[in-house]
Parts: sequence; structure tokens; C-alpha cells
Amino acid sequence: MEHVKQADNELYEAIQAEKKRQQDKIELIASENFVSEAVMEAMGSVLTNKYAEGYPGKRYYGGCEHVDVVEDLARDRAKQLFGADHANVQPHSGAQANMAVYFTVLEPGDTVLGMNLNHGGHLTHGSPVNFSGTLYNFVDYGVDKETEQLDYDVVLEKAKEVQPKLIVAGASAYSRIIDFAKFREIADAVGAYLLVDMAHIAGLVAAGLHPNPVPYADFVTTTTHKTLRGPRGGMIFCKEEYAKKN
Amino acid sequence: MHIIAAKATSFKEALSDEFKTYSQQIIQNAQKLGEALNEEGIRIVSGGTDNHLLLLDVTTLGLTGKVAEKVLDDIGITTNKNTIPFDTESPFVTSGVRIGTAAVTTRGFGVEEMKEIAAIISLTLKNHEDESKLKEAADRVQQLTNKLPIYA
Repeated sequence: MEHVKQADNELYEAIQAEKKRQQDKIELIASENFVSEAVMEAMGSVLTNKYAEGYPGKRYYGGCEHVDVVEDLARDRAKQLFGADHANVQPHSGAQANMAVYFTVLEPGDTVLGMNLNHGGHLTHGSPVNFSGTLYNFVDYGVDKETEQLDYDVVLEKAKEVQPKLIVAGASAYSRIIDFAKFREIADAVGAYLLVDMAHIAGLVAAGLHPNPVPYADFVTTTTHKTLRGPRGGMIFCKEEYAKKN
Repeated sequence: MHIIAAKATSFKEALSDEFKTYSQQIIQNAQKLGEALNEEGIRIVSGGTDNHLLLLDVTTLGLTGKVAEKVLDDIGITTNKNTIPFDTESPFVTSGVRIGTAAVTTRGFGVEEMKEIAAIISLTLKNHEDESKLKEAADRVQQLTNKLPIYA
């Protein structure tokens, strides 16, 4: 931080104060983590100078031979971690990753079935205060009142009733295993696409400690900075057949 | 591209055996924390956890999520207020607090620290207007964080 200290002491002080806060407090926010110093060094590298629109081997800019290596490393490792056909490591956030999937398979006004925010869903799964809830006709499912867990029979009934084009599974405040095979059956029963947003549990999935949605879902989105413990960002996995659509 | 590079680095870490151990510890820690909070009389939504996350219903303590988040933050525990299923409070007030164990696990905290964190949370939420009890809670947070520094 010596260069920041010399160039911009005001900013340096704020960063140091945040470092002290992280040291002195107990961090229990479920979506946060501490990345390794190697991850921070990579983030602070000369790669920030490079434009690289497009994909490795198919860029809109010259001079991409080294960043192509970088992006291929990220894509190949991501595919290996989750056993996926295709990975896109470019989204800047989970919200952006979800938006990319919506834009790929939906038209404005299409019906989507997602988990209620109050029951553990996410803003980008159809909340009226998010773009997803204004652009598409989101209908929600929730948890059972007694068990406070997902009841897949109720989700199936709801799906049959509203005939969604897309079903979104995944949550930001749900502490139980999510049965992605069940969600696949529900999606198949009504001819819907299945998107799983595994942002919270991605690290646990990578470690084999939560069922992997990749074999079941048409699309899987995630952030990279929660249990997965990477930099702040997003990612999309899909079956090879969809890779060229977006 | 710098972020994609950092993603590549973190994925290499995630492919390691150490990452698997860390992930197992996350779940163990969450389950121990939930169990200890439950013993303190704090209700866990759905009764427990299978992952890194716990949703606490703080209405049984006569609190809202908004108040609970604030008093915990004041003694050095960072959380966020969160709605619980069938919540009657607005998303800006809420009846719950969401917590997770990923960050503390990375820091090296184990089940013993989880028991202490549960005790501190309970002490704080049950005595949220008692200055001396809150001071004790803040001191106990300091002892834990001093024991296991990060980025040192």
C-alpha cells in the first residue's frame, strides 16, 4: 500500500480503517469472506489495463494473447470445479449473470417462477423493486409454514398453475439442502427452463458438500465471492447447446 | 481482466484439499453455532442448517432485526437484518438476523469459537440496554479477534 499512501493519503487512511474493522470485528454476514493475498495480488495487477471484449481467440482488440491464457485458466478451472460443459467468467456480479440468462431465454412479460424474497429468495429473482420484477411476470413460491422448508409438491402445483417459461431455484437466506433433481422434474413437467442461482453455496458445491445443480439445470449462475472465496464477481454455467445463444 | 485473473487464482485454491477441509469446517461451525444459539433460547428458522447459513428469529427476544443488527454491530459482530418466512415486519425492519460462517471459518475459527460467539450474541441481544453487559460482550469479541488475526 506504499504507493497509495504516497499518492492519496486520504484514501489510504480509509482503507487502513477498513482493514482494522475487518481485524477487530467478527464477520458473520453470510455472503462475505476473506480472500487470500494471492487473490488480492491478482486483482491489483497490470491486467486492469487491458481491454478484452469477446472471448479467448475471438477478441475485438489486439494484444490479447496473454489475457486469453488468463481467461482460459479461469474457465477451465471453473468447468473442472463444477463439472460443467461451458463457463462464462465475465459477469461482474451475480445480478448481471442472472440478467444475462433472462435476456437469453425470456421476452419481456414472460412468466417466471422464483422464490419469494421474504422466504429466502433474492432481489433478482423477481422482486418488484428489481428490474427482474418489472420486466417479467414473476410468480413466487415459498416455504411451508410449519417446517419453514421447501415443499416440492407445492412448487409443482404452482408451476402447473402458472406455466412459467423459466423456474429459478436458489436462495440468499435458506439454510437447507435444495433438491435440484426435484426442481428438474418440476421444470420438465411444465416444459420450463431451469435456472439455479447457487451464489451462496457455490463453495460448498465445489467441495462436494451440497448437491451440484450443474447436471440438472439448463443454466447455473453464481457469484464468486461468497463461500467460494474468490474476488467480487459473477459467473454463468450452461449446457453447450445454449453457449452460443447469448 | 484483473478480476478474471483473481477468479482463476481462487478456483485453483478451491480445487485444493485445503478448500475441502475449510468447507467441511464451515458447515460444522454453522451447525455448532445454531445448536448453541438454540440452547440459549434463540429460535433458528427451519430448526437448523445444512449449509453455512443461519436465519435467527429475534422476535422471541422481543426484538426486531433492525435493532438486533445495530446492537450486535455496536459490540463488534457484523450481521444483517433479514426477513423471515411470513414476516409481518417490513424489509427495512424485519423479524430476523441472517448470519453465516464462511468468513470466520477462513479466519481460523472452529467450534470452540462458535460456542463463545453464540454466548456473546445471546448476552448482547438479551441485555441490549445494559451498558455493562454490552461492554463485557465487546471485550469478549476483542479477545476472539485478537487471538486469530487476519492479513497480519
